[in-house]
Formats: sequence, structure tokens, C-alpha cells
Amino acid sequence: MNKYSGDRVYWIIFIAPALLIVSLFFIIPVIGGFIYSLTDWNGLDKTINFIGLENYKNLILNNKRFYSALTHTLIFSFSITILQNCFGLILALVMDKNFKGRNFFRAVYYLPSVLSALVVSYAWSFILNPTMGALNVLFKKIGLNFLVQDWLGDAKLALFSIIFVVVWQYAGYSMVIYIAGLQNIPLEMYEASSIDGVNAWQKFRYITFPLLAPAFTINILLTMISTLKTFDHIFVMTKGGPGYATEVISTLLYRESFTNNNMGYGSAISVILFALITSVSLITLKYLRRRETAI
Amino acid sequence: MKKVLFKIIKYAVLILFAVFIVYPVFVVVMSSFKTTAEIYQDTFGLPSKLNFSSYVTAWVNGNLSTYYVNSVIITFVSIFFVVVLASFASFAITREDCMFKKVLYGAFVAGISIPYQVGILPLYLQMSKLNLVNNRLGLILIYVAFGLPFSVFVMSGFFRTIPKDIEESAIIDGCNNYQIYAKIVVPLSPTVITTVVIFELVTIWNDMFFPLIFISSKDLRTIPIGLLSFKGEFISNYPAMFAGVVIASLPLIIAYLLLQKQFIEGLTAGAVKG
Repeated sequence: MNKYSGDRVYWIIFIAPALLIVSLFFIIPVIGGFIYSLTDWNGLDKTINFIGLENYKNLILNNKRFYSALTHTLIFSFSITILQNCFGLILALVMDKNFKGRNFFRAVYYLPSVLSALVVSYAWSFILNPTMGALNVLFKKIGLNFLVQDWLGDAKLALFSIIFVVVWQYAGYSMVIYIAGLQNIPLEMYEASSIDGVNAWQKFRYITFPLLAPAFTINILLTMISTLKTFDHIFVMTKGGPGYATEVISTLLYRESFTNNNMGYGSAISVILFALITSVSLITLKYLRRRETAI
Repeated sequence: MKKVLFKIIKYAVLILFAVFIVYPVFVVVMSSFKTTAEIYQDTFGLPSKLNFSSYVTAWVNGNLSTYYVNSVIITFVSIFFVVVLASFASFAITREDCMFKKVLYGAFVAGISIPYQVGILPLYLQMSKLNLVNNRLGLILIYVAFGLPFSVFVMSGFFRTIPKDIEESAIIDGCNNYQIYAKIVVPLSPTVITTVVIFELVTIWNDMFFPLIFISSKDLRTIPIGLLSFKGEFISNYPAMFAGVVIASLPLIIAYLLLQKQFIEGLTAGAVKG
């Protein structure tokens, strides 16, 4: 029986526009990316040759710049995931209980998440400026001259300075997710443990930490995925430099594709980025979910 | 005694961290009011007077007025179409008589996990064939395409929670599918629409990547890409650059302060987006 009056194919009308736009401007180009990665096309010529996995072979076997970009991407992603989640969790633990001014502090800590990467990068580039930046001026004033550094211009420091800026921007974001997780822990758990004479550390170790597992999963996954594809902060603060010291996969992809017109090569890099993100998220998800269910 | 001490330490930590977060914002605002000389002389000093001339420089000479119009048009038109098309699609996907609904839902949701860089080159070629490079409409189409997967995910999740009885009684009253959408589903969904609007607002307004690739002419730049060009145009004119940064960020900061709860919820719902 058709309990719905009128036509049964109304859903085509409803779904068609969205499906058309997503297919045309998202799905088809993504498939195209996979196909182009198997060719030697430079994006301009009429000739296009199918070269199989040659682009991948070149990238993986003998491309130092790709390796250094991959290494930087992994360092970047790994460090931010750890730091942002540590700070986010500590903030959430402090902010969990109700106290005067809680909403004010939450609003302040979350504020940078609303700003654009560009704005944040401009502000910090200025503060980290070697000669007039607030940080170095402060260090000079208090006599810590050995800390006066060219934070974004020194090849050894630049990547870590950017890591710092990203953590500064998004620690509040992780915090909010952890606060939501903390509020899902039933109060009776803590009450019961108080009767049993459990101390604060034990409470954290045996109640809060395990029961926070779902928030951990989402937070860690989220930070990893977004940092593996980070582009804006690096492009604005260092453009991948000095030299190639802060080159990551997404800036290399941009350079190869739109500056060097290396179509097949650029596509191969983008496919590798996709594979990297997918595999890292699947592995993490599997590991963290197992941890969730183990508890 | 121990409790009081603990409280003092807690607030000290909270305030210290708040200062750490606010200071860069404070530096940007103060610098926008300084003269260039003041910036070079004293990093920590306050501006000698509230000097709005940098705002005029950024707005007029820096072309920020044009970029603003572009950003407003592109952001709002994109959000409008994301909300309308996503709600259409989600409505269809969550109806019982929709064929292939699982496949269609899967097709949209798969988009969430694909990084935007993957198809960027073929997309560029395709856009230039369609004459949509360096074109506001082109950018809008891209934002709609990239906004839909997440929005369909969030919206269909919500539509599923609408009790079937409401719809069924509407059908008995003689409502057709279009009326059910317009008169029942949409009026029940302000929360989820707000979530999508806020998420897309922050994403599109702040986006630098797509205009960097698809916009080349000065008249069509959006704010982020306009600000990026400031670096070259106003070499060492930091006050003008920071005035631009303030003007660019102000609408979102004001909206955030007014709608704090909705912003945090809206953007955290984005947590599920990969």
C-alpha cells in the first residue's frame, strides 16, 4: 500500500540538485584525480600518456622533497595531536565543575577557533618577528638573551613555532569536546568512589580517564585528520620555508600543481595524502574503538 | 585553608591562560591604532591616540570594501543553497519510499572523509572549461558542493528523529510530500539549520584555499585572499594590515559573542566532519 498521497518519485526532485552539484564539483574531480595520477600529463599539452604507477614510483623511490614533506607532515600532525589534546583535556578538567566565571573562560578559550587561520597566522607572525616581535622584545627585557630567536626564519625552529600557533588556536576546541565527554560521566560514579575513599588521582585514573574514551576517540581523530591536511597556517607563516624546512604534503601539492604545472605528479601526491589520511584514521579508529569497548 | 588556596591557584591558572589567549588579539587591535613609527619604537606601548587612519587605508586603498562585498555575497549565497539543497536531499533520504536511500546517503557521507585537496587539479581544469574560474558563481558552486556532504549528514540525522506520527497525521489531513517538507519538517528544524549555517559561515568566511586557486582578478577577491595580498601591498605598513585583520574578523567575533552557545554547538557538531 502506498500510504503517501501523490507521486512516489518526488524524492528525485528533492535529491537531484544536491546530487548533481556534489557529483559535478566534488566526486567526479576526485575520481579524475585518481586517473590523472596514472598519467604523465603536465596539464597543458594535448598529449597525455598512461604511465601506470610511474608517478608513485618516482615519489616513493627517489624524491627527497616528498620524503621531507612527509616527515614534516607526520611530525606536525603527531605533535599537535598530543599537545592539543593534553591542553584541551587539562582545560576541560579545570572547567568541568561549575564555578563563577566558567562561561566567560570557556568563551575566551574557544574564541581563536572562530578566527581564520590567516588572521591567527598574521598575529603570531608579528609576535614572533625576530626584531620587533613581542616575544623577543620580552626575552631581551628580562635578560633571557639566549631565547631570542628567529622563530619562523630558523629552519630548526620554524616547524615547531607553527605547531605552537596551531595548538594555541585549537586547544579550546578540543576542550569543548572533552567538557561534553566529562558531562556524560554519571555523577554516581564519583560519589560511590568517594565513599570507598578513593583519592583524586585514582578518580581520574580509574573513572574519568576510561569513561572519557569516546571523547578521546573523536578528538584525536579530528586533530589528526585536520593536521595531516593543514595548509593555511604554513602557507601564510612560512610558505613552506625557510628552504623547505616547513614543507608539508599539502604545500608541496600546491607547489607542484599550481606553480610547477605538474599535473600527474600533483595528482599522485593528492592521492597519497588521501591514502595517508584514510589509513591513519582507520588504524586510529580501530585502536581507539577497541579501547572504548574494552572498558 | 587548603580549599581557598586551591581556589586561588585555579583562578590564577585560568586567568593566566585567558591572557595568553587574548594577548595576540589585543596586540592586533592595538597595532591597528598605532602609527608605523610607534610600532617599530615600542612593541608593548599603547597607541598615543586612537588613530583610525589605518582603517581608512585598509578599507579604501587596500580595496577591502570590494573584498567585503565579495565575501558577503559568496558566503551568504553559498549558505543559502547549502541549507536549501541539503534539507531537500536529507528529506528525501529519510523518507521510507525513497529508493536507493542507503546508496544515496552513503554517496553524500563518503564526501565527508575526502580531503578537499584530492580532486583539486581536475576540478580546476573542469572549472576553466566551464568558464567558472575567476568567477563568483564558480566559487559558490564549489562551496555548495563541499558543504553538502556534512550538511546532509547532520540534517538527515536530525530528520530521522522527527516522530513518524506527525507526518502520518499530516498525510491523513491531505498533505502531499512537498507540504510535509515545508509545513512540518522545516518548521521543526531551526536548531539543525542553525548548526549548518554557523558551521558553513565560519568555514566559508574564513576559507583561503579555494579563492587562492580559483580567483585571480583583484575585483573578485574575498577577504582572506585580499588580506593575503596586503602583505605585498603594504610592506611594513603593519597598522594597515592589522586594521584589515580587525575588519575581517569583526563580524564573526561579534556573532560569536552574541550567539556563543550556538557557535560552540554548531562548530562542535562539525567535530564529526573528518
